Amino acid sequence: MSIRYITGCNAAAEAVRLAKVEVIAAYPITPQTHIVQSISNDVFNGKLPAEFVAVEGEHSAMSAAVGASMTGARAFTASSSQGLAYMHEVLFYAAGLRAPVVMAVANRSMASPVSIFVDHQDSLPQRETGFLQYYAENCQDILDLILLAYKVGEDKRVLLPVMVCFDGFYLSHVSEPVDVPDADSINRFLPKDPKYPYLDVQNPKLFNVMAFPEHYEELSRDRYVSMAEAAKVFDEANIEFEKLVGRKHNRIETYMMEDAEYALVGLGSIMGTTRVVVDLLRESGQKVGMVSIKSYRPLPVLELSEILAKCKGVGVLDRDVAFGTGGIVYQDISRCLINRKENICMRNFILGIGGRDVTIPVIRKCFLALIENKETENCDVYWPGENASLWSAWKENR
Amino acid sequence: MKHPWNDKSPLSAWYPGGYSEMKDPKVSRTIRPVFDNSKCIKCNMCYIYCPDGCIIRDDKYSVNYIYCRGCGVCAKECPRGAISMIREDKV
Repeated sequence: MSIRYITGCNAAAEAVRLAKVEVIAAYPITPQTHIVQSISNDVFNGKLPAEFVAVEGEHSAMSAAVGASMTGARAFTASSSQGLAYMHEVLFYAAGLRAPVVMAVANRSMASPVSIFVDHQDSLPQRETGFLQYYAENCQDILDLILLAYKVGEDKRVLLPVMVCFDGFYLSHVSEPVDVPDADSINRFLPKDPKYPYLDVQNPKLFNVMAFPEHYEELSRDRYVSMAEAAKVFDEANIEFEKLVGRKHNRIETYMMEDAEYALVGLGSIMGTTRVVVDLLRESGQKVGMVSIKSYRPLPVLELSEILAKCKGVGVLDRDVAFGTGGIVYQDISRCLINRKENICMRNFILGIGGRDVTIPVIRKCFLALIENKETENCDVYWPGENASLWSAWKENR
Repeated sequence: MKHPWNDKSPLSAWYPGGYSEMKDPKVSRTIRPVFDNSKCIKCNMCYIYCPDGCIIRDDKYSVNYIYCRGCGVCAKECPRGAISMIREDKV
Protein backbone atom coordinates (compact mmCIF):
# COMPACT_ATOMS: atom_id res chain seq x y z
CA MET A 1 0.00 0.00 0.00
CA SER A 2 1.41 3.37 -0.95
CA ILE A 3 0.00 6.85 -1.43
CA ARG A 4 0.90 8.19 -4.86
CA TYR A 5 0.14 11.51 -6.50
CA ILE A 6 -1.32 10.47 -9.86
CA THR A 7 -3.96 11.52 -12.39
CA GLY A 8 -7.27 9.75 -12.86
CA CYS A 9 -6.03 8.14 -16.07
CA ASN A 10 -2.93 6.81 -14.32
CA ALA A 11 -5.10 5.53 -11.47
CA ALA A 12 -7.10 3.56 -14.05
CA ALA A 13 -3.87 2.21 -15.60
CA GLU A 14 -2.63 1.29 -12.12
CA ALA A 15 -5.82 -0.71 -11.54
CA VAL A 16 -5.29 -2.56 -14.84
CA ARG A 17 -1.74 -3.48 -13.77
CA LEU A 18 -2.94 -4.67 -10.36
CA ALA A 19 -5.74 -6.73 -11.93
CA LYS A 20 -3.13 -8.46 -14.14
CA VAL A 21 -5.21 -7.89 -17.26
CA GLU A 22 -4.12 -10.19 -20.09
CA VAL A 23 -5.46 -8.48 -23.22
CA ILE A 24 -5.82 -4.74 -23.78
CA ALA A 25 -7.35 -3.49 -27.03
CA ALA A 26 -7.90 0.22 -27.37
CA TYR A 27 -7.85 3.17 -29.72
CA PRO A 28 -6.74 6.62 -28.52
CA ILE A 29 -9.27 9.39 -27.91
CA THR A 30 -9.08 12.45 -25.67
CA PRO A 31 -9.41 12.47 -22.65
CA GLN A 32 -8.92 8.71 -22.22
CA THR A 33 -5.60 8.41 -24.12
CA HIS A 34 -3.31 8.44 -21.06
CA ILE A 35 -4.76 5.21 -19.76
CA VAL A 36 -3.79 3.07 -22.72
CA GLN A 37 -0.62 5.09 -23.30
CA SER A 38 0.54 4.15 -19.82
CA ILE A 39 -0.51 0.50 -20.21
CA SER A 40 1.12 0.14 -23.64
CA ASN A 41 4.38 1.49 -22.18
CA ASP A 42 4.28 -1.18 -19.51
CA VAL A 43 3.48 -3.95 -21.99
CA PHE A 44 6.33 -2.75 -24.25
CA ASN A 45 8.81 -2.63 -21.35
CA GLY A 46 7.76 -6.07 -20.15
CA LYS A 47 6.37 -4.81 -16.83
CA LEU A 48 2.91 -6.16 -17.65
CA PRO A 49 2.80 -9.62 -19.25
CA ALA A 50 -0.16 -8.87 -21.50
CA GLU A 51 -1.08 -8.65 -25.16
CA PHE A 52 -1.65 -5.09 -26.38
CA VAL A 53 -3.74 -5.00 -29.56
CA ALA A 54 -3.38 -1.73 -31.46
CA VAL A 55 -6.68 -1.75 -33.32
CA GLU A 56 -7.91 0.51 -36.13
CA GLY A 57 -10.99 1.86 -34.34
CA GLU A 58 -13.22 1.56 -31.30
CA HIS A 59 -15.61 -0.89 -32.95
CA SER A 60 -12.65 -3.23 -33.35
CA ALA A 61 -11.33 -2.41 -29.87
CA MET A 62 -14.44 -3.74 -28.17
CA SER A 63 -14.65 -6.65 -30.66
CA ALA A 64 -11.09 -7.66 -29.80
CA ALA A 65 -11.75 -7.33 -26.08
CA VAL A 66 -14.89 -9.47 -26.37
CA GLY A 67 -12.98 -12.06 -28.41
CA ALA A 68 -10.22 -12.17 -25.81
CA SER A 69 -12.76 -12.48 -23.03
CA MET A 70 -14.41 -15.39 -24.85
CA THR A 71 -11.13 -17.30 -24.63
CA GLY A 72 -11.21 -16.88 -20.85
CA ALA A 73 -8.64 -14.05 -20.76
CA ARG A 74 -9.11 -10.93 -18.64
CA ALA A 75 -9.70 -8.05 -21.07
CA PHE A 76 -9.73 -4.26 -20.84
CA THR A 77 -10.50 -1.36 -23.12
CA ALA A 78 -11.13 2.35 -22.71
CA SER A 79 -12.86 5.06 -24.70
CA SER A 80 -14.71 8.37 -24.67
CA SER A 81 -17.42 10.23 -26.52
CA GLN A 82 -17.46 9.48 -30.28
CA GLY A 83 -15.39 6.36 -29.72
CA LEU A 84 -17.93 4.99 -27.27
CA ALA A 85 -20.72 5.82 -29.71
CA TYR A 86 -18.82 3.98 -32.45
CA MET A 87 -18.55 0.98 -30.08
CA HIS A 88 -22.28 1.02 -29.37
CA GLU A 89 -23.14 -2.04 -31.48
CA VAL A 90 -20.45 -4.22 -29.92
CA LEU A 91 -21.51 -3.23 -26.38
CA PHE A 92 -24.65 -5.33 -26.91
CA TYR A 93 -22.48 -8.24 -28.10
CA ALA A 94 -20.31 -8.04 -24.98
CA ALA A 95 -23.37 -8.17 -22.73
CA GLY A 96 -25.19 -10.79 -24.80
CA LEU A 97 -22.13 -13.05 -24.94
CA ARG A 98 -21.73 -12.55 -21.18
CA ALA A 99 -18.11 -11.50 -21.68
CA PRO A 100 -16.95 -9.76 -18.46
CA VAL A 101 -14.93 -7.07 -20.22
CA VAL A 102 -14.16 -4.00 -18.11
CA MET A 103 -13.87 -0.66 -19.84
CA ALA A 104 -12.94 2.78 -18.59
CA VAL A 105 -14.89 5.73 -19.96
CA ALA A 106 -13.48 9.22 -19.50
CA ASN A 107 -16.70 11.17 -19.99
CA ARG A 108 -16.71 13.73 -22.79
CA SER A 109 -19.56 15.51 -24.56
CA MET A 110 -20.81 14.38 -27.95
CA ALA A 111 -20.31 16.23 -31.23
CA SER A 112 -21.70 18.27 -32.87
CA PRO A 113 -20.41 20.90 -31.98
CA VAL A 114 -17.08 19.26 -31.29
CA SER A 115 -16.02 19.49 -27.67
CA ILE A 116 -13.45 17.56 -25.71
CA PHE A 117 -14.83 18.59 -22.31
CA VAL A 118 -16.90 16.67 -19.85
CA ASP A 119 -20.55 15.85 -19.70
CA HIS A 120 -22.28 12.47 -19.37
CA GLN A 121 -23.91 12.51 -22.78
CA ASP A 122 -21.61 9.72 -24.01
CA SER A 123 -21.94 7.04 -21.34
CA LEU A 124 -25.49 7.60 -20.04
CA PRO A 125 -27.13 6.79 -23.39
CA GLN A 126 -25.24 3.44 -23.24
CA ARG A 127 -26.98 2.50 -19.98
CA GLU A 128 -29.41 0.09 -21.67
CA THR A 129 -26.77 -2.05 -23.39
CA GLY A 130 -26.48 -4.57 -20.54
CA PHE A 131 -23.27 -3.06 -19.19
CA LEU A 132 -22.95 -2.38 -15.48
CA GLN A 133 -22.14 1.31 -15.02
CA TYR A 134 -20.13 2.71 -12.13
CA TYR A 135 -19.44 6.44 -11.76
CA ALA A 136 -16.38 7.69 -9.90
CA GLU A 137 -16.37 10.83 -7.79
CA ASN A 138 -12.58 11.12 -7.40
CA CYS A 139 -9.35 9.47 -8.59
CA GLN A 140 -9.34 6.95 -5.73
CA ASP A 141 -12.80 5.77 -6.83
CA ILE A 142 -11.49 5.14 -10.35
CA LEU A 143 -8.81 2.73 -9.13
CA ASP A 144 -11.07 0.96 -6.64
CA LEU A 145 -14.07 0.72 -8.95
CA ILE A 146 -12.04 -0.88 -11.76
CA LEU A 147 -10.79 -3.56 -9.35
CA LEU A 148 -14.34 -4.06 -8.03
CA ALA A 149 -15.62 -4.13 -11.61
CA TYR A 150 -13.53 -7.23 -12.41
CA LYS A 151 -14.66 -8.88 -9.18
CA VAL A 152 -18.35 -8.22 -9.85
CA GLY A 153 -18.32 -8.74 -13.63
CA GLU A 154 -16.51 -12.09 -13.42
CA ASP A 155 -18.70 -13.48 -10.64
CA LYS A 156 -20.65 -16.42 -12.03
CA ARG A 157 -23.93 -14.93 -10.74
CA VAL A 158 -23.32 -11.81 -12.85
CA LEU A 159 -21.06 -12.37 -15.90
CA LEU A 160 -21.71 -9.01 -17.47
CA PRO A 161 -19.35 -6.35 -18.82
CA VAL A 162 -18.70 -3.24 -16.73
CA MET A 163 -18.15 0.42 -17.61
CA VAL A 164 -16.29 2.55 -15.08
CA CYS A 165 -17.05 6.17 -15.95
CA PHE A 166 -15.27 9.27 -14.68
CA ASP A 167 -15.36 12.90 -15.71
CA GLY A 168 -12.92 13.85 -18.44
CA PHE A 169 -10.25 16.40 -17.39
CA TYR A 170 -11.86 17.04 -13.96
CA LEU A 171 -10.76 13.53 -12.97
CA SER A 172 -8.83 12.10 -15.92
CA HIS A 173 -6.20 14.86 -15.99
CA VAL A 174 -6.25 16.02 -12.38
CA SER A 175 -3.64 14.63 -9.99
CA GLU A 176 -4.78 13.56 -6.55
CA PRO A 177 -3.21 11.47 -3.79
CA VAL A 178 -4.29 7.91 -4.58
CA ASP A 179 -3.77 4.97 -2.26
CA VAL A 180 -2.46 2.16 -4.50
CA PRO A 181 -3.00 -1.24 -2.84
CA ASP A 182 -0.20 -3.79 -2.85
CA ALA A 183 -0.16 -6.51 -5.51
CA ASP A 184 -0.50 -9.40 -3.04
CA SER A 185 -3.84 -8.35 -1.62
CA ILE A 186 -5.22 -7.70 -5.12
CA ASN A 187 -3.99 -11.12 -6.28
CA ARG A 188 -6.04 -12.61 -3.45
CA PHE A 189 -8.99 -10.34 -4.26
CA LEU A 190 -8.99 -11.13 -7.99
CA PRO A 191 -7.97 -14.75 -8.59
CA LYS A 192 -7.84 -15.73 -12.26
CA ASP A 193 -10.48 -18.39 -12.75
CA PRO A 194 -12.99 -17.93 -15.59
CA LYS A 195 -16.33 -19.50 -14.68
CA TYR A 196 -18.25 -19.19 -17.93
CA PRO A 197 -18.41 -21.14 -21.19
CA TYR A 198 -15.43 -19.95 -23.21
CA LEU A 199 -13.60 -21.02 -26.37
CA ASP A 200 -11.65 -24.17 -25.71
CA VAL A 201 -10.05 -26.39 -28.38
CA GLN A 202 -10.61 -29.52 -26.28
CA ASN A 203 -14.32 -28.82 -25.99
CA PRO A 204 -15.39 -26.82 -29.05
CA LYS A 205 -18.40 -24.51 -28.92
CA LEU A 206 -20.23 -22.34 -31.44
CA PHE A 207 -20.95 -18.90 -29.93
CA ASN A 208 -23.24 -16.06 -30.90
CA VAL A 209 -25.75 -18.25 -32.74
CA MET A 210 -29.25 -17.17 -33.64
CA ALA A 211 -31.97 -17.30 -30.99
CA PHE A 212 -35.58 -17.58 -32.09
CA PRO A 213 -38.56 -16.01 -30.31
CA GLU A 214 -39.04 -19.03 -28.03
CA HIS A 215 -35.63 -18.44 -26.42
CA TYR A 216 -34.65 -14.79 -26.95
CA GLU A 217 -36.87 -13.33 -24.24
CA GLU A 218 -35.51 -15.68 -21.57
CA LEU A 219 -31.93 -14.88 -22.59
CA SER A 220 -32.72 -11.19 -22.09
CA ARG A 221 -34.49 -11.88 -18.82
CA ASP A 222 -31.49 -13.85 -17.59
CA ARG A 223 -29.33 -10.76 -18.15
CA TYR A 224 -31.92 -8.64 -16.32
CA VAL A 225 -31.86 -10.97 -13.30
CA SER A 226 -28.05 -11.08 -13.32
CA MET A 227 -28.01 -7.29 -13.29
CA ALA A 228 -30.08 -7.35 -10.09
CA GLU A 229 -27.70 -9.97 -8.62
CA ALA A 230 -24.81 -7.61 -9.39
CA ALA A 231 -26.00 -5.30 -6.59
CA LYS A 232 -25.69 -8.11 -4.04
CA VAL A 233 -22.34 -9.21 -5.46
CA PHE A 234 -21.04 -5.61 -5.31
CA ASP A 235 -21.84 -5.43 -1.59
CA GLU A 236 -20.22 -8.82 -0.94
CA ALA A 237 -17.14 -7.84 -2.93
CA ASN A 238 -16.89 -4.67 -0.86
CA ILE A 239 -16.75 -6.60 2.41
CA GLU A 240 -13.78 -8.54 1.02
CA PHE A 241 -12.24 -5.38 -0.45
CA GLU A 242 -12.51 -3.61 2.88
CA LYS A 243 -10.75 -6.50 4.65
CA LEU A 244 -7.88 -6.54 2.16
CA VAL A 245 -7.49 -2.86 1.29
CA GLY A 246 -9.25 -1.01 4.10
CA ARG A 247 -11.68 1.02 2.01
CA LYS A 248 -15.38 0.55 1.32
CA HIS A 249 -17.63 1.74 -1.47
CA ASN A 250 -21.39 1.94 -1.35
CA ARG A 251 -23.65 1.77 -4.36
CA ILE A 252 -24.99 5.14 -3.25
CA GLU A 253 -22.97 7.51 -1.10
CA THR A 254 -25.04 9.74 1.16
CA TYR A 255 -23.97 12.91 2.94
CA MET A 256 -25.97 14.53 5.76
CA MET A 257 -29.08 12.60 4.75
CA GLU A 258 -30.12 11.51 8.28
CA ASP A 259 -32.38 14.54 8.83
CA ALA A 260 -32.26 16.22 5.41
CA GLU A 261 -35.41 17.91 4.11
CA TYR A 262 -33.99 18.81 0.72
CA ALA A 263 -31.56 16.65 -1.22
CA LEU A 264 -29.64 16.80 -4.47
CA VAL A 265 -28.96 13.56 -6.35
CA GLY A 266 -26.41 13.10 -9.08
CA LEU A 267 -23.27 11.38 -10.24
CA GLY A 268 -19.65 12.12 -11.05
CA SER A 269 -17.20 14.74 -9.86
CA ILE A 270 -19.84 17.47 -9.29
CA MET A 271 -20.95 15.62 -6.17
CA GLY A 272 -17.72 16.69 -4.45
CA THR A 273 -18.75 20.32 -4.94
CA THR A 274 -22.23 19.46 -3.71
CA ARG A 275 -20.78 18.18 -0.41
CA VAL A 276 -19.13 21.57 0.13
CA VAL A 277 -22.40 23.39 -0.55
CA VAL A 278 -24.22 21.07 1.87
CA ASP A 279 -21.69 22.06 4.56
CA LEU A 280 -22.16 25.77 3.77
CA LEU A 281 -25.96 25.59 3.86
CA ARG A 282 -25.93 23.50 7.04
CA GLU A 283 -23.93 26.29 8.68
CA SER A 284 -26.78 28.68 7.89
CA GLY A 285 -29.28 26.22 9.35
CA GLN A 286 -30.76 24.67 6.19
CA LYS A 287 -31.47 20.94 6.47
CA VAL A 288 -29.94 19.79 3.21
CA GLY A 289 -28.13 16.64 2.05
CA MET A 290 -26.83 14.92 -1.03
CA VAL A 291 -26.84 11.46 -2.61
CA SER A 292 -24.12 10.44 -5.04
CA ILE A 293 -24.91 7.43 -7.21
CA LYS A 294 -21.87 5.20 -7.73
CA SER A 295 -23.64 2.21 -9.22
CA TYR A 296 -25.91 3.65 -11.89
CA ARG A 297 -26.53 0.21 -13.44
CA PRO A 298 -27.80 -1.65 -11.50
CA LEU A 299 -29.61 1.34 -10.00
CA PRO A 300 -30.19 0.93 -6.24
CA VAL A 301 -33.93 1.66 -6.62
CA LEU A 302 -35.08 0.53 -3.15
CA GLU A 303 -32.23 2.25 -1.32
CA LEU A 304 -32.79 5.52 -3.19
CA SER A 305 -36.52 5.27 -2.63
CA GLU A 306 -36.09 4.76 1.14
CA ILE A 307 -33.66 7.65 1.54
CA LEU A 308 -35.34 10.19 -0.75
CA ALA A 309 -38.90 9.54 0.42
CA LYS A 310 -38.03 11.19 3.74
CA CYS A 311 -37.33 14.51 1.96
CA LYS A 312 -39.72 17.34 1.14
CA GLY A 313 -37.90 18.17 -2.06
CA VAL A 314 -35.53 16.23 -4.31
CA GLY A 315 -33.43 17.84 -7.00
CA VAL A 316 -31.61 15.84 -9.66
CA LEU A 317 -28.36 17.15 -11.10
CA ASP A 318 -28.10 16.05 -14.69
CA ARG A 319 -24.86 16.54 -16.58
CA ASP A 320 -26.70 15.35 -19.69
CA VAL A 321 -29.78 16.26 -21.69
CA ALA A 322 -32.55 13.86 -22.64
CA PHE A 323 -33.88 15.95 -25.52
CA GLY A 324 -37.63 16.20 -25.33
CA THR A 325 -38.09 15.04 -21.75
CA GLY A 326 -35.56 16.54 -19.31
CA GLY A 327 -32.59 14.68 -17.88
CA ILE A 328 -31.61 11.01 -18.05
CA VAL A 329 -30.87 10.61 -14.33
CA TYR A 330 -34.08 12.50 -13.53
CA GLN A 331 -36.14 9.83 -15.27
CA ASP A 332 -34.49 7.12 -13.21
CA ILE A 333 -34.88 8.97 -9.90
CA SER A 334 -38.55 9.65 -10.71
CA ARG A 335 -38.93 5.92 -11.23
CA CYS A 336 -37.57 5.33 -7.69
CA LEU A 337 -40.20 7.61 -6.13
CA ILE A 338 -43.22 6.48 -8.12
CA ASN A 339 -46.02 4.56 -6.34
CA ARG A 340 -45.17 6.12 -2.99
CA LYS A 341 -47.68 7.95 -0.80
CA GLU A 342 -45.38 10.85 0.07
CA ASN A 343 -45.84 14.03 -1.93
CA ILE A 344 -42.30 14.95 -2.91
CA CYS A 345 -41.48 18.03 -4.94
CA MET A 346 -39.07 17.01 -7.71
CA ARG A 347 -36.88 19.34 -9.71
CA ASN A 348 -34.51 18.69 -12.57
CA PHE A 349 -31.31 20.71 -12.89
CA ILE A 350 -29.39 20.43 -16.14
CA LEU A 351 -25.91 21.85 -15.68
CA GLY A 352 -22.25 21.51 -16.58
CA ILE A 353 -22.98 20.62 -20.21
CA GLY A 354 -20.00 20.59 -22.59
CA GLY A 355 -17.54 21.05 -19.72
CA ARG A 356 -19.06 24.19 -18.20
CA ASP A 357 -17.67 24.52 -14.69
CA VAL A 358 -20.12 23.61 -11.94
CA THR A 359 -19.20 25.94 -9.11
CA ILE A 360 -20.38 26.40 -5.52
CA PRO A 361 -22.77 29.29 -6.46
CA VAL A 362 -24.40 27.11 -9.15
CA ILE A 363 -25.08 24.23 -6.75
CA ARG A 364 -26.25 26.72 -4.11
CA LYS A 365 -28.70 28.10 -6.69
CA CYS A 366 -30.05 24.56 -7.20
CA PHE A 367 -30.60 24.09 -3.47
CA LEU A 368 -32.30 27.47 -3.11
CA ALA A 369 -34.60 26.82 -6.09
CA LEU A 370 -35.54 23.53 -4.45
CA ILE A 371 -36.13 25.05 -1.02
CA GLU A 372 -38.15 27.99 -2.38
CA ASN A 373 -40.01 25.61 -4.69
CA LYS A 374 -39.71 28.15 -7.48
CA GLU A 375 -41.89 27.59 -10.53
CA THR A 376 -40.42 27.98 -14.00
CA GLU A 377 -42.08 28.96 -17.24
CA ASN A 378 -43.39 25.64 -18.45
CA CYS A 379 -41.79 22.65 -16.81
CA ASP A 380 -39.70 21.26 -13.98
CA VAL A 381 -36.38 21.69 -15.77
CA TYR A 382 -33.92 24.36 -14.61
CA TRP A 383 -30.65 25.46 -16.18
CA PRO A 384 -28.89 26.90 -13.11
CA GLY A 385 -25.52 27.40 -14.79
CA GLU A 386 -26.91 29.19 -17.84
CA ASN A 387 -25.05 31.94 -19.67
CA ALA A 388 -28.08 34.21 -19.30
CA SER A 389 -26.93 37.13 -21.48
CA LEU A 390 -26.11 34.82 -24.39
CA TRP A 391 -29.36 32.93 -24.06
CA SER A 392 -31.53 36.06 -23.95
CA ALA A 393 -29.70 37.49 -26.96
CA TRP A 394 -30.43 34.27 -28.86
CA LYS A 395 -34.04 34.27 -27.72
CA GLU A 396 -34.62 37.72 -29.21
CA ASN A 397 -33.35 36.61 -32.60
CA ARG A 398 -35.27 33.36 -32.81
CA MET B 1 -29.80 -33.67 -31.30
CA LYS B 2 -31.35 -32.29 -28.14
CA HIS B 3 -31.25 -28.53 -27.91
CA PRO B 4 -28.73 -27.60 -25.19
CA TRP B 5 -30.86 -24.68 -23.97
CA ASN B 6 -33.97 -26.54 -22.90
CA ASP B 7 -32.82 -27.90 -19.56
CA LYS B 8 -29.77 -25.84 -18.59
CA SER B 9 -29.14 -22.09 -18.62
CA PRO B 10 -26.77 -21.42 -21.52
CA LEU B 11 -25.86 -17.85 -20.31
CA SER B 12 -25.33 -16.71 -23.89
CA ALA B 13 -26.62 -18.28 -27.08
CA TRP B 14 -24.20 -21.08 -27.99
CA TYR B 15 -24.17 -24.64 -29.34
CA PRO B 16 -21.67 -27.42 -28.78
CA GLY B 17 -19.07 -27.64 -31.56
CA GLY B 18 -20.00 -29.51 -34.73
CA TYR B 19 -23.66 -28.46 -34.50
CA SER B 20 -23.91 -27.58 -38.19
CA GLU B 21 -22.79 -31.09 -39.18
CA MET B 22 -25.76 -32.55 -37.32
CA LYS B 23 -28.28 -30.59 -39.34
CA ASP B 24 -29.36 -31.52 -42.88
CA PRO B 25 -27.99 -28.73 -45.09
CA LYS B 26 -29.61 -29.97 -48.31
CA VAL B 27 -32.50 -27.59 -47.74
CA SER B 28 -30.33 -24.58 -48.49
CA ARG B 29 -29.02 -25.89 -51.84
CA THR B 30 -30.88 -26.06 -55.15
CA ILE B 31 -27.94 -27.01 -57.36
CA ARG B 32 -24.83 -29.07 -56.59
CA PRO B 33 -21.40 -29.30 -58.27
CA VAL B 34 -20.53 -32.67 -59.83
CA PHE B 35 -16.98 -33.52 -61.02
CA ASP B 36 -16.15 -35.05 -64.38
CA ASN B 37 -12.81 -36.54 -63.35
CA SER B 38 -11.83 -37.34 -66.96
CA LYS B 39 -11.58 -33.56 -67.63
CA CYS B 40 -10.04 -32.59 -64.26
CA ILE B 41 -6.34 -31.57 -64.37
CA LYS B 42 -6.05 -31.07 -60.57
CA CYS B 43 -5.15 -27.39 -61.03
CA ASN B 44 -6.72 -26.59 -57.60
CA MET B 45 -8.66 -23.57 -58.86
CA CYS B 46 -11.88 -24.99 -57.34
CA TYR B 47 -10.07 -25.71 -54.08
CA ILE B 48 -8.73 -22.14 -53.88
CA TYR B 49 -11.99 -20.40 -54.78
CA CYS B 50 -14.48 -22.49 -52.77
CA PRO B 51 -15.68 -20.09 -50.03
CA ASP B 52 -16.61 -22.93 -47.67
CA GLY B 53 -13.56 -25.19 -48.24
CA CYS B 54 -15.70 -28.10 -49.49
CA ILE B 55 -13.40 -29.54 -52.17
CA ILE B 56 -11.96 -32.93 -51.19
CA ARG B 57 -8.56 -33.55 -52.85
CA ASP B 58 -8.08 -37.32 -52.94
CA ASP B 59 -6.92 -39.35 -55.98
CA LYS B 60 -10.07 -38.07 -57.60
CA TYR B 61 -11.41 -34.63 -56.67
CA SER B 62 -14.88 -34.53 -55.12
CA VAL B 63 -17.15 -32.30 -53.02
CA ASN B 64 -18.17 -32.52 -49.36
CA TYR B 65 -21.94 -32.20 -49.78
CA ILE B 66 -22.53 -31.70 -46.04
CA TYR B 67 -21.01 -28.24 -46.24
CA CYS B 68 -21.48 -27.30 -49.92
CA ARG B 69 -24.08 -24.54 -50.33
CA GLY B 70 -24.24 -24.87 -54.11
CA CYS B 71 -22.93 -21.42 -54.95
CA GLY B 72 -21.30 -22.56 -58.21
CA VAL B 73 -18.05 -20.62 -57.88
CA CYS B 74 -16.03 -23.83 -58.46
CA ALA B 75 -17.85 -24.53 -61.73
CA LYS B 76 -17.33 -20.93 -62.88
CA GLU B 77 -13.60 -20.98 -62.09
CA CYS B 78 -12.78 -24.45 -63.48
CA PRO B 79 -10.62 -23.87 -66.63
CA ARG B 80 -11.58 -27.23 -68.18
CA GLY B 81 -15.31 -27.23 -67.50
CA ALA B 82 -14.89 -30.35 -65.37
CA ILE B 83 -17.54 -29.25 -62.85
CA SER B 84 -21.16 -29.00 -63.78
CA MET B 85 -23.95 -27.72 -61.59
CA ILE B 86 -26.86 -30.17 -61.44
CA ARG B 87 -30.29 -29.45 -59.95
CA GLU B 88 -30.87 -31.29 -56.68
CA ASP B 89 -34.10 -32.89 -57.97
CA LYS B 90 -32.26 -34.23 -61.06
CA VAL B 91 -29.47 -35.93 -59.03
